Amino acid sequence: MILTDFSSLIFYRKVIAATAVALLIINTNLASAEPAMPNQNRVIPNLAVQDQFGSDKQFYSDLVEGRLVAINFIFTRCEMICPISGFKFSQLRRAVKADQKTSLQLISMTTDVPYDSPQRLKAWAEKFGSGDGWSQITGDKQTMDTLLKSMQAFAADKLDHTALILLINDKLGMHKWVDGNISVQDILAAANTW
Amino acid sequence: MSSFGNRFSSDKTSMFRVKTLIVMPLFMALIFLNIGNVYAVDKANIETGRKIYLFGKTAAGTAKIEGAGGEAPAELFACANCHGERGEGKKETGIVAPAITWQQLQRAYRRDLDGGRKREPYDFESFKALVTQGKKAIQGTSAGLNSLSSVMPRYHLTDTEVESLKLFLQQVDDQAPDGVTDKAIRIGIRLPTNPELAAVILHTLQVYRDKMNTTHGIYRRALEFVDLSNQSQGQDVFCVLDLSLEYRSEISANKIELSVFSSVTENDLHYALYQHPLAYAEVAADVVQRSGWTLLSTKQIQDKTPVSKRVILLHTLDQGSLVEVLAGLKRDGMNNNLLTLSSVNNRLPEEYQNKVFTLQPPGPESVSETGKRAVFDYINQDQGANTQHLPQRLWTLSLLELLNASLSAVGKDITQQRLEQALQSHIDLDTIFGPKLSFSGSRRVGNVGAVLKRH
Repeated sequence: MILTDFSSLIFYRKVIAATAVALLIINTNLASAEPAMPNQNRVIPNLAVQDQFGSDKQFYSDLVEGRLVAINFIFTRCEMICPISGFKFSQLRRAVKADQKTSLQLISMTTDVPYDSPQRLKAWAEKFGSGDGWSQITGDKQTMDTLLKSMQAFAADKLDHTALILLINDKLGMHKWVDGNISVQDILAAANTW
Repeated sequence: MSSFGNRFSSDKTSMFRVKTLIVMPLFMALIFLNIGNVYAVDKANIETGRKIYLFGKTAAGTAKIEGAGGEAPAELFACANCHGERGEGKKETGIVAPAITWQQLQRAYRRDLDGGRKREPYDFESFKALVTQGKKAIQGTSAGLNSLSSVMPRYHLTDTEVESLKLFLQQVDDQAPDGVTDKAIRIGIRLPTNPELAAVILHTLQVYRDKMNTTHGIYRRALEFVDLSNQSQGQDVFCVLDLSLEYRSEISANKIELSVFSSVTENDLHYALYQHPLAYAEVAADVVQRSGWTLLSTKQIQDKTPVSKRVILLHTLDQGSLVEVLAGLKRDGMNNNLLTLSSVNNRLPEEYQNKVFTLQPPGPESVSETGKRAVFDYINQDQGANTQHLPQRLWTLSLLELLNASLSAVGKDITQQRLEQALQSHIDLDTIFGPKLSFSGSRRVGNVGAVLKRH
C-alpha cells in the first residue's frame, strides 16, 4: 500500500490507533484465556477417527492441519455442562458464519466411546443446531484416549472431562485454552487473537 | 300471646333448624368443594412444576444461556439435568450444581463454603429472581457478586410457573425414594440360578440382615431384602445387589446396582465390584496358550502399577465370541489355581459351548485373618453349611459390607444421588472379606480390563 499524501497518512494512523485500542479492549476481555503457547510439546497424532456422518477422517491431516480450530470435549449422555457446551458451539458456528472473516472450524470430541457412535453424536449436535464447520468426532477407545492425551484433555472418568475449549492455530503452530463459560464473542475474539 | 309467642318462638326455632339442616350441608359441601378445588389446583400446579423441573417444559419454551447469544430450547436444559431428579444436587467437571429442594433453599448460608453458598433463605421473589435472572439471594453485596454462574440457564417463566416450580420443590422434600420408609430400606437382590448356591447366598444375606437389624439397622432403618426374581416387586426397592455371581447382559435401568461382574448393557448406575485379584497375569498367559484365545486389546489402567503386577478375571461377552479380561492388582498370598469351566458355557451358542473359560470368585486364601473368622461365624450359623461355597459367601459379604459402608456414609437423608457419591468416595475401604476397595474413577469399585477373542 502506497500512501500518496499527508492526509491519507493521518487517516491511516488513526485507523491503526483505533485498531490498537480495539485490540487492547478485546484482549482485556480475554482474561479467561490462557496465553498462546507454541505447539512444540503438543504433537497431535494423525489417527483414524469418524465424524458424525460415519465418514473416516485422519484427525490431524483432515481436521486440524493448517487450520484454526476450536475443540471442546463432550459426551452425549452428559446432562450438565455438555448441553451448554453444545449450545455454545452451535452459536459459535453461527457467529463464525456471520463473521465471514474467520475460518474457525469447530470440533467436538467425545470422551465416551464406544457409547458415542457417529449417529449419537449427530443427533446430539442437531438438538442444538449443527451444520457446516462443526465436526463431532469419535473413534475406538485407544485412538480417542491417545488423541485426548495428546491434547492434555484425557480424564479417566468421563464425568471429569474438561469444560475448557482448546484453540489451535496450526498455521502458526500455536494453541491456547479458553474458559468454556466465556461468551461466544470472547471465544471468537480469542480465536482471532494470537 | 305467650302461647302464640311460644309457638312463634317454637316455629322460629324449627325454621332455624330446618334452615340449618338445609344450609349447613350446603355450606359444608361448599367448603369441601373449595378444599377439593384448592387441592386440585395445588396438584395441577405441582404437575406444572414437575414438568418444568424434570423436562424443561415451560410456556415460553426457551431459556437464556449467558454468553451464548440467542435463545436455547428450555427442554434441553431441564433443572433436573444438573440438580438431580429430586433436587439433590450434582457435580461434574468441577462444577457443583447445589441441592435445591425447597428445604435447602430455605437455609441461609453465612459462609462461602464452596464458591457460592453464601446467601439468605429464598422467598418467592428471590426465588423468581434466581431462576429467571440468575440472581442469588445475597444482601449487602454488590450486584456483581449476586450472580449465579453463567452455566445456570436463565428461564423465562411466568409468576404462576415460578410458584409451580416452588411447589414442586417443596413437594420433593416430602417424598421418600423408592424402597425407603422411616423404618426400612428395601434392597433388591438377584440370586444365582443354581438352587444350592442360591440357598447359601440367601442364608448369608439373612444372617447379615438379622445382625444389622438387631443393632438398629442403618440410621434406625431396618434392612429388608426383596428377591427380584419376582419382577413385579422390582420397582419398590432402593437399590439392587446382584448376587448371582455370574455375568448378566441386562441390569436395572434406573436403580443403582452393585454386582461382582460388569455388564454389556451400559448403565451409569451399575457398579461392579472387581475387588478380588483372582489370578496373576501369568494365568492369563496360560489361558491364552491353552485355550487359543488371542489378546485383542488391553484397556488403559490409570495408575502407575506395572503391567506385570496386574491380575485378571475372565468372563464371556453377550455374543459368546469374546471373553473379557478384567485387570486388577496382584496381591501376595493368592493361588493361581482358580481357572475352571463355567456354567456360562451352557448359555452360549452351540459353537461356543465348552470353549469358554472363566474364573470363580476368590477363595478364603485372599481374606484377612479377621475376615476368615467373621466368615466362619456366618457359616457356623448355617447348619449343614457347604464350605465349598465359601468364595460365594465372601462375595456376598463383601458386597453387603460395601453397601453398608456406603449407606452409612449417606446418612439419614437417603437418595440415590448420595449413595452414588458415597460409592465414588471409597478409598481403601476394608470390608475384611477381601482386598480393600477403591473407586476406580470408571464407575466401578475396582478396576478395568481387556478383551480376548478366540482364534
